[in-house]
Amino acid sequence: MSVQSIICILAVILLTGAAIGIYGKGKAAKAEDPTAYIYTRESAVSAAAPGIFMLITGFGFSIAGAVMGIRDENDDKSVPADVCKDAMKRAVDAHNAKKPEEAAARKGRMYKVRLGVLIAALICIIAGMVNGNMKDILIKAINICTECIGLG
Amino acid sequence: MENKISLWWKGHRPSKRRLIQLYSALLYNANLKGFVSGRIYTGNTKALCVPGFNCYSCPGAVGACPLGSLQASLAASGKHIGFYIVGIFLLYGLIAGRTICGWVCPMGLIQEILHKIPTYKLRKSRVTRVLSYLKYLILAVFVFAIPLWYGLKHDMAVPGFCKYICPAGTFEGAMALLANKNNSGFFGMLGILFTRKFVIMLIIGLACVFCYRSFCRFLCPLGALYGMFNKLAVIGVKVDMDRCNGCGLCVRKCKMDVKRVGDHECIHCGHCIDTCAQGALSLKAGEFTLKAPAKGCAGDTEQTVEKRKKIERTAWTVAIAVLVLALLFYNVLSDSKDKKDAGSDTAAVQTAKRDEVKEQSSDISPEGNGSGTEAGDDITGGDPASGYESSADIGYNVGERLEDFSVKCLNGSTFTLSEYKGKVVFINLWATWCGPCVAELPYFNDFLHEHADDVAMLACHSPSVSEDVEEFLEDKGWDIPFAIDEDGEGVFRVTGGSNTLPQTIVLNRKGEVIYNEIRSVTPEMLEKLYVQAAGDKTVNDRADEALNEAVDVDTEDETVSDAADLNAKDEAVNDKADEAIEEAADVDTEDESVNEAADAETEDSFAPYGHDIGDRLPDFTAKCLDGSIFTLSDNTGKITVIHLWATYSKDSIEGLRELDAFCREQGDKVAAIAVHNHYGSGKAAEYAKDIDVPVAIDNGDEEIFRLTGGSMMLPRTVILNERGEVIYNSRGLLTGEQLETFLMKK
Repeated sequence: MSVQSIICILAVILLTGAAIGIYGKGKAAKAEDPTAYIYTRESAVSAAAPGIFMLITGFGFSIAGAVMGIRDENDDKSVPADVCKDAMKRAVDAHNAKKPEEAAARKGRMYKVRLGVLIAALICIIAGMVNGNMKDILIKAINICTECIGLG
Repeated sequence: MENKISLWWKGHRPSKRRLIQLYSALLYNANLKGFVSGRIYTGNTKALCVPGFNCYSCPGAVGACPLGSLQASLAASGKHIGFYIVGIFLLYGLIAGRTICGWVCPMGLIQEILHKIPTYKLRKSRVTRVLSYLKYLILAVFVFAIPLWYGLKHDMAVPGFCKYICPAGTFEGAMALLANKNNSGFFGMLGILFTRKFVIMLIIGLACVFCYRSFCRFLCPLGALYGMFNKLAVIGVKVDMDRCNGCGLCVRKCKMDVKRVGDHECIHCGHCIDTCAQGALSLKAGEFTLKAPAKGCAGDTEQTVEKRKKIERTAWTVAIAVLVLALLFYNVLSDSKDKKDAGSDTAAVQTAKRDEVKEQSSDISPEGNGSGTEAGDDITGGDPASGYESSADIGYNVGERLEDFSVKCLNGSTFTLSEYKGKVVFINLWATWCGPCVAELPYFNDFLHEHADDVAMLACHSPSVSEDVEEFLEDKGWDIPFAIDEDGEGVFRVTGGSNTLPQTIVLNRKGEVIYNEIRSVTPEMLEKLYVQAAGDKTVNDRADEALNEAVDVDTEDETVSDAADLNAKDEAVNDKADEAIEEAADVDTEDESVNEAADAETEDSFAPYGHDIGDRLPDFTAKCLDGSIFTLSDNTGKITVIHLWATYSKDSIEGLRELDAFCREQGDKVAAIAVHNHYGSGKAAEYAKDIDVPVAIDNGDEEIFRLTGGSMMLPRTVILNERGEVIYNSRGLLTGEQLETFLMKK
């Protein structure tokens, strides 16, 4: 474990705690007054500040590590061979077993399928423009979907 | 020193793939000014789906998110079949498949950057491979099933994945909007949904530090969809089988859960091209090589290599030109149409609109309509001073007085604000495509029914109309006056409406705004706002009033026919009931036939069925939480109290305890049942533990609530006399003392 990763874990714990804490307090306030806010800018900023500070520190460490050339060696290690079950070997064997004409025929079939899919895609797009599906998407996209982004 | 720097740069310079990832993230989010203003782009390019995962509610986004669009289309599939989005997926899948994930997805870029943090890394294994199938389950449940179910069954747009999981929406949409000071009003909306999604986003972010592209591998339904096209895709890593010796090094070095190069998990990042000692792998678009192995492709000549480099240079030049043009267009040339087309609901826009409203109002002559109200098709101006006595400024912020307006409703009537002088006015801005808006409309409808005498209400649809609103409302049975603001220059302009919904505006009796927020409401909120706007009565005051009114009917008096009028109000009490009342009056006036009256009381009731005063409540049977069965008709001859309650209402829990204490005192004289509505009845048993009054949960159709005229506004108490006729039916908390007083007087 590196310093950065420990800082990241701490930051996530702090931010999660902050969010749950604000929600708990806000819910109690809402029980008293149904129009009360659960989150406010002030409460969010003050509760999230330590977590954000930790995140910034973590990224600072990472940048310093990158500049100083500290790398994670684990990252480049390959997984044990048994995990991969030599699927590539089987693929090569299968390819070698095929006759050249079969490969050419397969290529031809693939070309036809691709052409069919392309035509279907273009027809669908035009049909969608006509039937109003494109407008549905435009309306959804130009209005903020508060539910989608988790605002509420 | 110079040598050291150049060496460091060689080791750290971004790869071409990284540059393309950054390029696409910037191109998708070219509306950079949106980050400053806190507004989203609302131009027509938003109808085009970008290939990667990029939230369309991000202030910078200039295109639509394909996954969000797919869910929106599925939710609307009852109206328009989603041909367009199917075509888009076929096209992107055919061209690139999961190459999109590896090269042009901003979420992929964020995950890879997080994974750069050096620490212990969780490598792929059989466990991660099994977990990689989770995304197909998410695709089936959250992307397909939930939007389809809600769309077809409930006419509601509920994008399951966006709502419950999507970290891109939380990060690019919610966080980016909340970080802008102009959007402080958004904090009012935040609740459990945000808390949950925020924590999910943090966990996914942390997971990416330790596990390469954790979201992409285990959760991303977009990757699951594109993965299905991987074998068909024109662009991708191809294996030259004549060179491949099947050593499997490419798969072992790959950080994704691939079994072989190019399978459904492969994102074609090209990492394997560099690891293959045989030079068997290359990234190709059809026959054209995009990335060749170090030893070159089979059949490569100097000319082909040179030609490839030339094409690459040209492609980069064109790409940079496109990016510069896009940045210029979205940030300088395009006005984004937001101000006109309901741009966004930031404070900045609202301030601008308020100034506009004030300016226009100042032009209104004392004699008649002002120029400022002429813009809307269905809206006509009115003298703002004519309707209300308030001297507050014209505007839509709290404390200001809403400009008068008149709008034609879908039912043919006209809603003119000034006509509701002295009433509390609720204006709800909504849209059929907005799930939370549709979910809260029943609350408004119930609320209007409860306060029909004192409240005026208008529900105005957004200018963005995606379907026939009248048809949508047809089978809903809502009585609220509905209107559509065709061009956003009518009710939306007057109330500061925007492209973020739902929004509720509440006016007090003077026409002053006491509440104007973009936020979903609950029945409790509506009640609280009403009390605040009415300024004179609380819920309990009204319960007392209703109680006294009911008691006065019997006691004050004097003439029985008056009592009958008061009791019956709208409906005629039948002849038999009149006879009984007259006989009771004889008793009051000290005449003889006491016994006859008593006989009449115990006779079967012939009153019409209903839940209003004087009506006979239809019989019902309810299974109580303690296992007993409560049948209304079994309690004929007793006073029966039905308490409608819910755990979400504090007053109704208090009312339950009061009723329980009252029944213990009364013993067998009174029968009682407490009925919890079906919705949110999970914790009912917990509250019913120490209560002797039988507690039942209403069935899925809310049958008892329907029979008794109950709604989401709770508590409600219904009291029946010995013949099963309603003698009291009102909302609000009834204490044991009040109950006793009422029944004594009766």
